[in-house]
Amino acid sequence: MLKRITSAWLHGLAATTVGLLFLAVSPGSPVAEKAVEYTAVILDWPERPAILVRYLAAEGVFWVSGMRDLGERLKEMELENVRLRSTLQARPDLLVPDRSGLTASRVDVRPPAFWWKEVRIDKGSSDGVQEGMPALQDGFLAGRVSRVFSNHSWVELLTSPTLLVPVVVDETRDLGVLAGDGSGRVHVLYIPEEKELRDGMSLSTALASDLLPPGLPVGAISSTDPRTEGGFRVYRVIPGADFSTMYSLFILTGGGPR
Amino acid sequence: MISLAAVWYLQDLLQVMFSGRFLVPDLFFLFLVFRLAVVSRDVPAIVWPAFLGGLLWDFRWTALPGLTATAYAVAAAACALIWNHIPDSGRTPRLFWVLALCGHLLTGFARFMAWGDGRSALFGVFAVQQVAAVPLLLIAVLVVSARSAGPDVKR
Repeated sequence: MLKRITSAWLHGLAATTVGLLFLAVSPGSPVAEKAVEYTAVILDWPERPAILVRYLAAEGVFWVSGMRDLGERLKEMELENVRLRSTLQARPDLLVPDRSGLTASRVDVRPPAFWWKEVRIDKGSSDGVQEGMPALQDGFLAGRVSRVFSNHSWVELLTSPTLLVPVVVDETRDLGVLAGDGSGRVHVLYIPEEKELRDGMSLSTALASDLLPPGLPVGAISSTDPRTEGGFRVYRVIPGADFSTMYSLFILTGGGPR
Repeated sequence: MISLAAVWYLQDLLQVMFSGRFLVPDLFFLFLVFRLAVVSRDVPAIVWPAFLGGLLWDFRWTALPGLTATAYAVAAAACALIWNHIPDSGRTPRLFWVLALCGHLLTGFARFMAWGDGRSALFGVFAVQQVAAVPLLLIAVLVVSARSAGPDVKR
């Protein structure tokens, strides 16, 4: 009996020690990243039935409950389309170039430990995805591609504290920098103290690089509780992307709005 | 071993289906405790599969290799130690229920603690996972109860 209990302790301690060693060395380890990558590749086919079921269920729910909403949204979009057409007739310089392309991707991993930092998508370099490309949800910027593998990529979300995106306030043309706080909130920094932005003012990307074109919608200013830091105001931003229902993303693999 | 792989695969399929909505209960861990109660009391046959299943889960889902592996290994070892330490007459379905529930709570709690700042926002996810395990556990308890009433029970 005693021998059996000792053996149980030894096995338990050994497994726990090995597990803790993994936990200590794996964060940031390229070997661990490769293992994560290969596991997803190996399980890609076996998981297809579940993806199919999920897709069919989502489609079913959509058809049952979403038809009325869809009709109303369609009307709104038709009206918006008419307005945009007339705008484009007046401003042909705003036309989106033909090379613009959106690659649809599915969010296949969202580690709870990095919930507000990054998600993994099922598209990679073989689909034309490159580091720095913007990821969109419902037409709004949700993040940028941070790491690319052959069949998967990681997208750093706007809520991540390490992702800084230059933005412009559409109504006032004030420039600022968008930054997350790692807890689901997003702020725009470096707005001069004397400038007072109003609730609902829209934000879009400012010219940053070839991969992140200007003019991508980001969200809207929330004037609630702006604080002042070093002579600049920090405004809370309500992102257009919904980070709690993020099941798919579009990667802007071509050009974007100018 | 095939049954363990099948249960891990089932848990993975369910997680794919419900990904982004809620965390599925740790079916693999519950099945290990179930095996401990009705199939084998061999500790290595419980602890090391728990570790490997957890590690594979980490590679697939948490991107923090070692987190679930350690949680599963600790919880499985604790369950095995307690179950084996209790005299035959005490190894009742009620004890199985308590062990499986506490073990599941422990593995879920380890993951919950690893969520860092997102903990408060994700408490609901943790709670739903634990509640979802209860009906499964009830079924397992019924099976354990039926087995322990039979003549071929392994004590």
